[in-house]
Amino acid sequence: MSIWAFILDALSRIFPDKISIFENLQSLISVKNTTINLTINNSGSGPISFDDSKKTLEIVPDKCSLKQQEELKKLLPSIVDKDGALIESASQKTIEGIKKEETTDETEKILSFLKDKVTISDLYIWRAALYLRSIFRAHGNVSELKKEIIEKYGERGRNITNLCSAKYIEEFFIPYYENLKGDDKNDVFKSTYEDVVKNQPFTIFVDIQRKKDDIIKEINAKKSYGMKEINIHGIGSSNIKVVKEVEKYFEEIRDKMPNRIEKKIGNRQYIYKDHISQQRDCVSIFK
Amino acid sequence: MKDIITFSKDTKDFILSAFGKTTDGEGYVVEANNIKQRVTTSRGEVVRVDELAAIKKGSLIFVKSDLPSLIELTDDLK
Repeated sequence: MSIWAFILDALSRIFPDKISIFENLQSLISVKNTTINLTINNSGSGPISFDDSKKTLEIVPDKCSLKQQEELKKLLPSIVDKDGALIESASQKTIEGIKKEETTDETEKILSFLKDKVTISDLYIWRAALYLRSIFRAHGNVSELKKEIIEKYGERGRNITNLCSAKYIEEFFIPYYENLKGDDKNDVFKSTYEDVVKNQPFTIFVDIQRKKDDIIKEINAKKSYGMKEINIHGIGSSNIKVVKEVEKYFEEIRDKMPNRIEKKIGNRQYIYKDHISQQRDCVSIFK
Repeated sequence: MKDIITFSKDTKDFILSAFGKTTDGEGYVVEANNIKQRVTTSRGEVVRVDELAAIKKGSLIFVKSDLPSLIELTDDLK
């Protein structure tokens, strides 16, 4: 017996006066092969109704008699056992959003690239980060989603989310891999990937918990470890505010030492010049 | 396409009751016949009623509504 045959059979016994609804549904399912949604909520008007336009059967427990409620409670575990899951409506919307995002050309291409190059755990983080990025691009609030990723995956979750938001997958990891040559290219990639994800050697992501001085301290620490190029990213209005403060700091130094620091490329790069060794360090700011 | 069976936030008590669960004074999902026993996810995390996303089969698995859990659930529903 199919899940819907089972559900309709049970519901027709709980709601014998609504038999026309079930006959209509039976015809839709068996003849027209239509997918029907079953939703349980307390905001509807009747104990049970069918919305033909949404192809949704709605049950309203608050409008059911006590006997009907008890019968429904007995039925639900059997439905889960047969169908697999009972999902809260808002979570169902998120699931639909994840599915939609993962079938876009852009995300499909990224996930296909990552699939055999990162661990299963990292792949889950990238999937979460890509979904978060899609919400951010649609001007949704992502702070709670980011918090959930960090709670589950810790610092690695934070780093991958930041790298994903700043398009490091498209603009660094994929081109880097494509330019690698030799039999050991996968090993070389994995080593670099691990270093970038774990240590973020050439990136600083401004977040709401860090002030201008924290960022400058981190820039100096990375420079002292020999990093020649450092990218500073700030996404979101509060983070951009901090990035602007950092930029102001560079402007002030440049005013004092014009020969030591120059500004380049769309005003977003500050190049440190070392006149003795001719070395050039670069700090790029992305807002 | 797979059948979709959903419940709204305002029916959570009803849904939990159908599975022999309820909530304790702190809002955690617990066994109705032993409210000291909190229900856990497959990862062993306790579940607050406001973060309950799904109940799925497999000796009754409770799923939280955080994004990583929902991505795992997306795979389970394929």
